[in-house]
Amino acid sequence: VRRIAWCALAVAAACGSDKPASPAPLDAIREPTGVAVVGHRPLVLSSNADLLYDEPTGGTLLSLGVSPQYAVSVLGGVRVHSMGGDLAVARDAARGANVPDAEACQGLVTRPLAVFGTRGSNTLNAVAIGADGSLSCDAPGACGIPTAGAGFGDPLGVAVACGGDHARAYFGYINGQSQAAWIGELDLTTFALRNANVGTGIVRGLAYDRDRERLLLTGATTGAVPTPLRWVNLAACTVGADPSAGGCTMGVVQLPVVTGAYALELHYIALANSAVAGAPAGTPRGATDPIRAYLTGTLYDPSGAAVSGYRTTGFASVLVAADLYEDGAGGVSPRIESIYDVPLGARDVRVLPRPAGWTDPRRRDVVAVVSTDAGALTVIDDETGAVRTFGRDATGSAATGAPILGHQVYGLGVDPEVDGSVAHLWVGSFADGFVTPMDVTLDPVLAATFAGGSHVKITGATP
Amino acid sequence: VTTRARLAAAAAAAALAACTSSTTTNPGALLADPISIAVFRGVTVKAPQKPGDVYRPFIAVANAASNELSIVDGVDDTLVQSPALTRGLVYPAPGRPVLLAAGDLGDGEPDLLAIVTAGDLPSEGGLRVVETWNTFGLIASRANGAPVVDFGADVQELLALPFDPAAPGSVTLVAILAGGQNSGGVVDKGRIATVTFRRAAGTSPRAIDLESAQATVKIGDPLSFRPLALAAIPGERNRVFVASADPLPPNGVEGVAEFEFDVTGTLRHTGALNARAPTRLVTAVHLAGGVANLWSGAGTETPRDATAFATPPTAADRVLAVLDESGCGFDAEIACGLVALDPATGELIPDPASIGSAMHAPFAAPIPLAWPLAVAAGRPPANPPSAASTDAQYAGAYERIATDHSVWTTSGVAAVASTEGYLYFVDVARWMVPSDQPVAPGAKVSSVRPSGTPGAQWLTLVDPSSGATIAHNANELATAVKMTAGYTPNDQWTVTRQGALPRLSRQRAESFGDGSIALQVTSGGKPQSVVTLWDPVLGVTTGDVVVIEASGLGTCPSSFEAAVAELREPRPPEAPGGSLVLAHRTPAVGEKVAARDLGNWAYCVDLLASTRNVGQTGPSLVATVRAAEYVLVRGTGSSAVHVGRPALGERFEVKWQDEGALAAACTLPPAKAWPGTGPCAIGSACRASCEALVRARLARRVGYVEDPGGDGIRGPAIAGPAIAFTLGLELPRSDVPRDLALFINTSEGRAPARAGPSAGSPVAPRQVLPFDRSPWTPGAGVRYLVPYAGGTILDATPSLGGSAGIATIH
Repeated sequence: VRRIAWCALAVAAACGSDKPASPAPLDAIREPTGVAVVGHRPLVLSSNADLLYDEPTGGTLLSLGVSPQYAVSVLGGVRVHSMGGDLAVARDAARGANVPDAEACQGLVTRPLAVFGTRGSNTLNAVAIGADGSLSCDAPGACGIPTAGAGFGDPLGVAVACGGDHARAYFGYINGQSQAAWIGELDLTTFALRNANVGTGIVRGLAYDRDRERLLLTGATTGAVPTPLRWVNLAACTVGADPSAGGCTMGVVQLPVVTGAYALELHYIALANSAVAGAPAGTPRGATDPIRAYLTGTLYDPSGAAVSGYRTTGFASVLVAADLYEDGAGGVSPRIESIYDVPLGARDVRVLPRPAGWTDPRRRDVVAVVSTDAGALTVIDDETGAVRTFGRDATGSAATGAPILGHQVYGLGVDPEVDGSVAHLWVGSFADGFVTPMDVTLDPVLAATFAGGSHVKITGATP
Repeated sequence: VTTRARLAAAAAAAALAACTSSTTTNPGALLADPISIAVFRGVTVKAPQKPGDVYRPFIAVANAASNELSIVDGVDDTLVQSPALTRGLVYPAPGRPVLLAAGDLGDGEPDLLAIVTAGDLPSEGGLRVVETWNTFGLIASRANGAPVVDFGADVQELLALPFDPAAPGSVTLVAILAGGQNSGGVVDKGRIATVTFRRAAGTSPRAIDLESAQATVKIGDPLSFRPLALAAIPGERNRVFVASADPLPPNGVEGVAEFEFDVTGTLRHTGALNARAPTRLVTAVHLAGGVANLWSGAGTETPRDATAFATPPTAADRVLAVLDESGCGFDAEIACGLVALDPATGELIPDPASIGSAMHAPFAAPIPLAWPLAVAAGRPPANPPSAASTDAQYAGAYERIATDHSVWTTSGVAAVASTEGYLYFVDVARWMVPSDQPVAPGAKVSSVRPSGTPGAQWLTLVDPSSGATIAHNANELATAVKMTAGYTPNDQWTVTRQGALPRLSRQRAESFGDGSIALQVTSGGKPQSVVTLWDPVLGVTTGDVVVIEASGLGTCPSSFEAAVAELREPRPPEAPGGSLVLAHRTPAVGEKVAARDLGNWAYCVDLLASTRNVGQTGPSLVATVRAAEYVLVRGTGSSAVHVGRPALGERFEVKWQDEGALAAACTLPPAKAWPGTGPCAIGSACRASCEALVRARLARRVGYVEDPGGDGIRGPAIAGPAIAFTLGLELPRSDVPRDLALFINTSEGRAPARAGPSAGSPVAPRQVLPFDRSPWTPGAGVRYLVPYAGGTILDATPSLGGSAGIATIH
């Protein structure tokens, strides 16, 4: 009898009897996976990935007010399912310089929307953001939208795609049978969802080329085949339908540098600011206005992957700057312009806004990359080649060796409005549960510092 | 078991453990993202030299992921054991080390070893120095704790210039500095800077004076082009060459910028070497033994030994550059790869084929390599590999390149590491990658019928000598393909009956209601996903078949066919890619189409002609353009290119010819960037030139061979073809179904001199560093060290064939 009692106790303990059966608090950041900025205020998506709180209410989206002295208040918060993924925003206004980027949804949405998916529970969410920073799911059907997929699930990557008459968000599912690539198209006005298979290789990163009405996709490798660059031409078509019935055409191409033993799994993709049409070096054939794409990726051994059927190694990370030309057949022809070595585990990549003085459209952008494994943020000026890396407090007589931005850096929010020549970034630490505000001076010399002069770790509302 | 017995067992186990520990395998190098490498001579815990000793070389490896430098013995590649005995010796290098450079001060004392880190907080940047004169290998700072040298900008590349033999005791480093934004808003794309280090006073091993270096910094003018890589001709201290993907001032030349020291000791941009394309990597070589006389006499092969060189030799310099893929290749006047520039003329080296011959090109062809990631050139070894009289030549002026079955004597070697994971050895004097076997191209031919194809017809070839048709499955098919060494590439060529033209399958289409269609989608009044039908590279011509899949077009079937009656030029903004005027289909020779189908197709073509669906307001249309008869395509997938239209029984050649005249007469791609510059209708001389230019570029030289004819026969120089054949049918009178295909897989036939790591993952080589090991081990020759992101280092020499010349540090 005693043995049975001990076993029962052990089972009870294993089943998480020490876990509070409660919803997540709305004043603290926990295991953040997504960071975005609206109205100069950070939005932080906490994932509750270890399920400390109840799964259905363990995740939160918080809208934070941050004073000049870095006192933090919670302006709005909603509980959502746990295992939130990346976070994107549909804005109700163009950026200050009237840059018509993919997230500029003015006239299409009445309020800004924070858009994200949750894994496991397989829901999509479009949380409305009030002018005061409040958050709400009051629009019918806007939150907890079931993906209802057979053979696919776990939405993680997201990109807002506004332009023309459409306000949409696209999600990538990282769980697909037989490594099938599935995306979800969410109409941000009706919240209707349409899912579509777009080939092989689960989708991880998405970016929308508004000028060309094209969705660009990256994803996991499949066996020995490194991640190709995929696209879906979204102009006047229906995702998931056959082209002869008005469906969208799709394409796929391998980056030209990926040959032989140089295998690259692409993770995320970001596109250059729309105001920069791109100035090709040389005299290439094709369209005269390529758009520059920035892609993060991991270098791995393709021979090992061929044996295992998936990537088994990850030696180094790179940021690839590639100009995407029209290939003359409705597709994309990428040309590698630069390959930057960045710390291991590069994931999120964001293009920073441009100062008002950068009027030369040939002037390349400044790009920020977070490396989860190394716990680092790297800022790169693609025009001058200047690089700033923040990983560890490693130099100087007072060096501590500590990870500056926390462990497992994950989530990168960029304020779309540049403040003079300073861009404001917010960097999340998944493992340590805080967000670090950073300032990046873009002009005249690239420099990056802690916002406020010293390290501010935002963990939630200031007590 | 008694306590005594347990103690005995424990003692035995301890003894065994002790024995085991003394014989364990050495720990691995544990490299973590090795990103840069340098060889320095100095002292370490392994070699704490005393005054008068010759300093031992060591290999320093910057591990970006673990913030440390690994130290490896430069003589035998063994790890230098750390005091902790648990792993190889490493020096802590906080801040993500990304660049190393070593320099000889020429005074016999320890070398300079400079290190650049990527940053980290608090960011100090700048240049640091490893104390190579100190067994602890500390990374030194100035007395105030500041970096030894602060250039005020990120250091992106470093190069040590040779010391001055007349004034030993100092070494100058050249650095590429990142640019920035000027106060006027003008972007400064970078600068070239120098710093000089001098030997400090004291006893051997003497330190380097770190305090004085900052005062020697000279920073050049802001550049309007972004400097990417540095090189200097071995032995030269006054010139530096800089690769750039930007046009170079003052004339917009694309190639390599040249810098020289001015009277103030500052490097200034003085000129450019014209590579006819932008560049991204550069190295330089001094050919003390001169340039080989390739094909010096009509019909003569080039000797592999030293007789290929003039006596006495005329020394020459070469600047070697990897072209930037943004401005080379099929769409450009020059193919991609490694090019050789003569700094004396500022131009590409000339093509060795005699002027006036059909194969003469305006410049020597680039050496194609998959995607070069690093390049370097060394000097011949200081010491010959042995005391044998036959080896005496391999020192000073000449070097040996040994493959498994052949030996070459050359005056200069360059090594190129590519994405394939291999290190290729280039004979700079002959401008070729030596082959282990005579370069004899080959082909594998296979005839394929799509499953479900009716009948027993096959595509095949005609024997060029007998004129007989060869059976589709006979071995003789390969011999019916004419190829030329030096021109025939490694690739797949496919002939297909009414094959879909590359990239023109299942494109969405719009009908203008006037009998024409364009392949595009108009959204918001703007055509998107435009197919540039007018582009000659796509190969569309009159008579081609257009297969249309329609939804909502009257009572038309889901698929019907039309013929291209006219190819219209672009009409922006409505049809910016051009359009096709459609006509009724008539069956091709050997094609069976039911009369009822022809009638339905004609009805639908007429209905489509009166239908307008621009903006996708009407029926949905998808179109595939197919050849009227046969089409030849080179390559597969997204790299497939339309070559031409072979006809049955007629010899079809893909042969290089001088591109200059063709490019001048062609106003469209591939001569000019889309949309081109003028009219160029089908049937015009312009379009014929464009089409010929396409074929010429697909048949460019892929490498030089010893045999001037390129055909294995001593004879007059010939130019190609890359491929030629005569198409045939196995059953001439039978029907010829659509999509019958003939695959011709050609191989260049070169077994290139190359090396790869024997262990570890050869992923992403980062650098190639030449190192002459002959002063310590004469037989080792000049080594080329290559760090791979995969965590391994290749140590290879071209002078020893097979595995003898390869070692791996991992």
